[in-house]
Amino acid sequence: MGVSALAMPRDAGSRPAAQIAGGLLAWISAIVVVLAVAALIVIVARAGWQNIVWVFETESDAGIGAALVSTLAVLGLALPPAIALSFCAGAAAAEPAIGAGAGRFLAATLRFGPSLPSTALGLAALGLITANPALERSVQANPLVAAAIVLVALNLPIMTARFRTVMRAVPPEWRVAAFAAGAPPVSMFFGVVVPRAMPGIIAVVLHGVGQMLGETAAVAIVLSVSTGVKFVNHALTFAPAPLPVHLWQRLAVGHPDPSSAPSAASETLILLVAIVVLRFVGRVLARRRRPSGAGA
Amino acid sequence: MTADRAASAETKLEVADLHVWYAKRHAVRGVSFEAPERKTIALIGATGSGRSSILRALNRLHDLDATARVEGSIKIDGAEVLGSSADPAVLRRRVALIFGRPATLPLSAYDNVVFGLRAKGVRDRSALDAACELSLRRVLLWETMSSVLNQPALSLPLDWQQRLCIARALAVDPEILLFDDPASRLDPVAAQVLDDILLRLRRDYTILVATNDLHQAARLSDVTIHLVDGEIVETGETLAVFNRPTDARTEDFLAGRAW
Repeated sequence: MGVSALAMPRDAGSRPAAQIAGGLLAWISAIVVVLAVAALIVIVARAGWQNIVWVFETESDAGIGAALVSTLAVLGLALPPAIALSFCAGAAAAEPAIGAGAGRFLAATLRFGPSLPSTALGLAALGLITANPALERSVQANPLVAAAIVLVALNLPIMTARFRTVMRAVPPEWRVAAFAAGAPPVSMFFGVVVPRAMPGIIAVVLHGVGQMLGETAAVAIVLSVSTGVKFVNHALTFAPAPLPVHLWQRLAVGHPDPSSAPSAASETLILLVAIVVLRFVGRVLARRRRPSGAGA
Repeated sequence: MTADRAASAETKLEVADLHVWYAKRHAVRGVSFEAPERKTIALIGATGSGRSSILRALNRLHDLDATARVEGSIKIDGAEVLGSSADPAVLRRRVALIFGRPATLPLSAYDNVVFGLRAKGVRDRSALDAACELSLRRVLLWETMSSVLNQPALSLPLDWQQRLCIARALAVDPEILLFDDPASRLDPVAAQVLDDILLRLRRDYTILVATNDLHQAARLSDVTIHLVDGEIVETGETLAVFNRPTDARTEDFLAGRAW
């Protein structure tokens, strides 16, 4: 069956031409996207599968074990404060009964905050760090912490806005019902809003993880340029080289020769698998955490 | 409510010069009335007459609406409940509001009934169980629901949900019950059951019912207040208001005539 046959229903004769064209376009676009993604996966898998170097070494161009551990270390440092801060700010912005004046201010700010490029916010945080000599020295000594601070600043507005959105998606009549039953704002929030918004909350956290995984590259590169900290994996405790950074080094910084392409492909494959696994875990968790009572 | 509560007809609720605004709309205009203890008052009037606004002001739900403004005085047992000195959460447990559309929470039936108690800080399982059973018995649901208490409340029939919401209100031992057109979403049979429940409850509670159902108002209430455009145009003993209205607008309203 051809694409046009799929797109056209049996009574197509009575449908306007624009609607038929729109349907066709949607089908063609979907097929192109699916084919492109499939081709990318096949190419990366073919090129990368045999070149994965599982050896755990700390030299810059050997193995990806160190890169994976560094990625986890940066995530481990940046995620908890980012989640805690953005969850509280999102709750204040979504629930006037909790946030009061501060919540209204936050809600107004969030109309514009997420539209700022997150990299710009990360750079602003970095600027604040490097402008202070004492802080800059501490960056030299603790690049992992510096990277985590920048990542938190970078992700805070968008995560806050997402938390606010999933909390606001809980129908307001349930809030009113809880208040009318005599619940104080905090009981209403944790008794009604959080359980109902839990699948969304988990999704926001996973989005944050994905975003941080991807953005560690930009942060680490800018940090290394501006502060002179070498973000290559000479030693795990000294310099983080998260997976995206490792990829960057392969493809642009230290390996302009084509021979490094297969290694880069292998690391891309691992990054893709990590993201797919994260997404799968997220879906399972979201299903398990979906509260009972969804009913009618 | 405990059985030994005094049986006197002392004033339980006193509303004086109550005004409610939504942004610039003046929804309630200087309403004053008193509700004696264990009496039932019906608020009747056309849509937009301010009945629901009065009930929401008594429950302080307007606090949640940034556009709403309330002025005047509301006293329960002589103590002012408007203003920052009164805790709205505590007030809402004393003055329970039941909506026309069942305000069922997305929890199990059991968790719905004990929600207010948990919010109040009660954690003892046996106390929660006892309150749940007593409340469900008072709304004639215990026999049918005792085996399905863990079922999601939102999956129950609408009339059960409405009675569950009443049970939730009763579980925290309120003093005043406010019903905002409680039978508006129910079929005639379910509405009749609800009336029977209200008839039982009126022995123990001060009740205010805002209703479009004039039969319900006549059957349940001791006093009827007729509102037009946010103002009281007539108030008195229900029998007198329904049989010998003194205001032409009340007469027209009861007769179903537009003016």
